[in-house]
Amino acid sequence: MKQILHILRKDLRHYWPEALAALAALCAYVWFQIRTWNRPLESWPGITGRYLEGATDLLLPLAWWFLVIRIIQGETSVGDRQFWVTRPYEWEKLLAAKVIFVLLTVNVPFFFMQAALLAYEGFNPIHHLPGLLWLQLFPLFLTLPVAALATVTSSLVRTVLAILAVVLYLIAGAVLSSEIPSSSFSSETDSLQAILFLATCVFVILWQYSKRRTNQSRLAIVALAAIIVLILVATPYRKLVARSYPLLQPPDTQLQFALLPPPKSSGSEDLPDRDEKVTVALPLSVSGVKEQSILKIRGVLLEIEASNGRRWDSGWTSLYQTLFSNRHRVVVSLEIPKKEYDAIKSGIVNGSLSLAMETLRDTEVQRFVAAEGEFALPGAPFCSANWGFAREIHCRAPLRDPYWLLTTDTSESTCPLGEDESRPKAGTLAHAWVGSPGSETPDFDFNPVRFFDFSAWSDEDSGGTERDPGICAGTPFTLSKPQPERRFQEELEFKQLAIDDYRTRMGRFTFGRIRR
Amino acid sequence: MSSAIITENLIKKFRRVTALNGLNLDVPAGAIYALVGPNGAGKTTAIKILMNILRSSSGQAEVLGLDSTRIAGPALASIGYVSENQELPEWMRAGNFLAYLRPFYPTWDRDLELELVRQFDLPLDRKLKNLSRGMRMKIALAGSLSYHPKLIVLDEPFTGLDPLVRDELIEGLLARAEEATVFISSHDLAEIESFASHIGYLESGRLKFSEELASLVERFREVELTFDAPPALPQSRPASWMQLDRSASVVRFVESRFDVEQTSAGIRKVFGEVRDMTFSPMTLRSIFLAMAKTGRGAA
Repeated sequence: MKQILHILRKDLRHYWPEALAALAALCAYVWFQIRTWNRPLESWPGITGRYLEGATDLLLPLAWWFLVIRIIQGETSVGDRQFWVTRPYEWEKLLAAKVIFVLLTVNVPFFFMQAALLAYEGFNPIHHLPGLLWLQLFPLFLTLPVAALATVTSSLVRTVLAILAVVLYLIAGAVLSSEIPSSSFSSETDSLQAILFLATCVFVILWQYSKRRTNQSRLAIVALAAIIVLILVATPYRKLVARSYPLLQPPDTQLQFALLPPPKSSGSEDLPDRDEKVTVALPLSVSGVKEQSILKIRGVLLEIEASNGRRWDSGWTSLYQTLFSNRHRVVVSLEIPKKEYDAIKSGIVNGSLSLAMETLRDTEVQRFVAAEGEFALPGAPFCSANWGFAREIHCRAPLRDPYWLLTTDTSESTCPLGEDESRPKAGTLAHAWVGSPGSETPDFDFNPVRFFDFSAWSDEDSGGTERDPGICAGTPFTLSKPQPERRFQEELEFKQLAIDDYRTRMGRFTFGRIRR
Repeated sequence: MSSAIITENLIKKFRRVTALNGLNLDVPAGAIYALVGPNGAGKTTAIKILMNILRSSSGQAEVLGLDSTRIAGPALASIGYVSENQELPEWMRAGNFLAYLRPFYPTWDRDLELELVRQFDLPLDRKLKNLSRGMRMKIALAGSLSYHPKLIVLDEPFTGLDPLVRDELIEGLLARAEEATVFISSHDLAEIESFASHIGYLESGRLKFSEELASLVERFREVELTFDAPPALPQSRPASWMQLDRSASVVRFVESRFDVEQTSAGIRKVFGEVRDMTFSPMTLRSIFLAMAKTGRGAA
């Protein structure tokens, strides 16, 4: 312990400017947060202020990274000339001193900053102590990869170059991922990659401190990069999707999908091609969604065989469509490479459309009426329906977004109607999702106060630009916690389809409504 | 006498370059052992392996009875290491540097530290980055002697220093070396000769010889033979004769196994009658020059 404190004292004496810079970045972050928080959009500071606020979000991790790199390279593990390797340093104690330094200069100020922000927004930090302590992992996770790189590089410049190399690798990985069918949809290997990533970072740091075998540590990092690419390339995504979303056949499912005929195309123009891709929109009729049940379409796979024998499939593509029991129509949009599209558009095609879905059962339904001024909702003690000119409920909650589905009958809205607006018919429901089911742990973020809006959108395709009346004081609504029930996929076969009829054209489809 | 350092067939390769090629070393405890050799001979590599800064490719090394790969942490509390190219914490003041090192060593002697500070005239209030090379070496040495190490390892400590600083360093070292083993690498033979008790000659990663300095100096002689008429140089001669050269009726060579009677007898056997024989003692520098030019060790 004596040696740990001795090294720590030396580091605090020497690296106080870096620690002060990190503290200044933290203060700047807090200052911009409390300046812009909880204020309606129109009263926010000018554009410069908003850019500065964004800059503090970036400045804080950069200041931490700088501090971590400097503190680690104070006793660098790289090279054979550093004085400390021939002195009676014990590596465990040296590492412990560095960790304590980071805890003192990063975590402790971060903890108090978060506690102060909670208190500023009316939440008692003592009541949220476990969550605040959990959030201390956030800066550690954020600085861990940089710490690993700092242990295998001998100077700040080299570390920065290594970080740039990692950024380039990530960009290349993203490009590669976009080229691999179904890879963006399946997240089955994400946790494996995350575990490998964290384990490698920890291994490299421990190995460098205990053995100073820089080449081996660098090799571990390169191996990690290669393994992640290998996982990306070699994962059997379709098999994983098939396992996560098993194919159901009647009578296992009551759901029925049918491809609707394309809308008339008179007077329409093709949308300009985007990135050499053509968008087709397939309208589907849906029936069989049970009462109190919600159907989420997570992904879609389109397989086509043209009359000329040419085959193409989209791979599993993410889709975010939610179907409630009163909704009977959904439009599935997909992009087809223009080259493929041009080869098949003139003829008729056969094929199938597979949908990966998840059903949720609505639970814990509670009724509320939006009050004047500030009112409390479960998990969100401070909510308001008078948020500037927005007709929605704006809330703030401590540490994490609560998971809720808000449902309101738009015909019961108490919001004043505009001159060109008419009240929707009774039973036209609007929904808003907040949070996600599952984990109750706080969301990793610099800011412990979560701001969120219940911005409800109606289910019915109005086909126009009519805005929802929104939620104002006096508007009734319900909150519920839909719980995932099961995942499955359904396959819809089609024959003799003129794909060109479904191409998205100007004025043909409007998704959602234009608000504000 | 037990050994402070032992190496067995130590090999170190840097990719295709073999820096150490089977080094077998035995440094007696209490010796002032000088490892000498030309630049690139592998002296620094050997020292770095002994100090566990580098790993050997194969072979073994023991330092103070401990496998060199385990020289770390508390084991370093009994070893002092000073190197010409060691990176010190430049931002520290000289006094802070010594104060920082102090708690690492249970045997740190504050009085000895103050004595060394006085002897080396160390400017304690100046930052290390602002000190001259000589002064930095003095600080490093003071920081390596103040805790009475059992072994002091010095890697080319005198390179580039002016003679005055060199003398000061040697004086400071010798005054405290009585209780310790000193292992020093150098290619400056003149200084080594003045204080080393043992010497090893390293060339191309191989130890050409290793012995007590006194016996080395004793067995090397510059031999000058004068003949009545210019003699023919022999086709075969003893292996211990080096740099055989003839100038008119004078023949000179270096004898590496000098013994008055045996050498004289050998000369007569090779040359027959000799008018005059002179055996001159050699400086260490002359010995090594002879060996380097001949390209062989002291067989």
